[in-house]
Amino acid sequence: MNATPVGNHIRRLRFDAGEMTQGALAERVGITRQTVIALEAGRYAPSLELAFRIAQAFGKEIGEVFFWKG
Amino acid sequence: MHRVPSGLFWLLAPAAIGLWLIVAIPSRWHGIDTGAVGAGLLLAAAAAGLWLSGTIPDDGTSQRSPGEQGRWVALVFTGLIGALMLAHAGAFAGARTIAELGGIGRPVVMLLVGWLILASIARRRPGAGVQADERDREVARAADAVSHVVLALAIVAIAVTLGLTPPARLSWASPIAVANLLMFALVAAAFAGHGAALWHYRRDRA
Repeated sequence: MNATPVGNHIRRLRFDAGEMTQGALAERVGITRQTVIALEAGRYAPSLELAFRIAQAFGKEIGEVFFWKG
Repeated sequence: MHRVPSGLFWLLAPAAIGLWLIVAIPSRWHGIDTGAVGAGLLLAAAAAGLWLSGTIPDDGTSQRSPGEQGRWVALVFTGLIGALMLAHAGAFAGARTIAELGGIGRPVVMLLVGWLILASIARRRPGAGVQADERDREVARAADAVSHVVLALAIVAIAVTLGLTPPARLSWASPIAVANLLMFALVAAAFAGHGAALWHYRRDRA
């Protein structure tokens, strides 16, 4: 789970969404705030289902939120 | 950062006395079951600690998820049970009937039941939010794998010891002693699993 090859723009998207807090995002997608922290730090790669739910929370396509770092 | 209520520090004293009563004092003193009293004191301190920690408002900066906090509690309780079993290893080896181990068994059962009740209360705390998600389940899978390996190694070690040691040197291995050795292997495996889970949580934060 350390240094996952899946990157994301969650932090920027939260900022763009009226500075949504990590807690608010966590509550919206049904995860703990600490998982949001791990995702933003690139320490955890979400399941496909969670990736879709996060993208949906921001009203984006999944490819606009997550990308492959390799 | 919120200030930690000073009451939490005051709870260390009764918790330490409870631990001392369980581990260091003979199981009966003037007709009183000191193990049960110690376990009760320890559980009361843990319950009070849980209640006090619930009064600390969440300022959104805690790095530890509810799952990780639960693992810390589980690690402490399995560690206590393991330490209790080790401290009374001589009594386990010398016992010929289960009744002889009542003074040790009662606090162990009390700790187990108390831990389950405290964990259940912690999960149902009002405003506790999401308690576990897919990351916790992934950590649990990795922890279970470690626990499984430790248990398998311990069982093999016990089987080899019993199978290859000359009978004359196995006078300690009464059915009760072997049963408790297997229980200790289970506790050690659980302890290793909780430790592995905490290592995974810590790695996610590093």
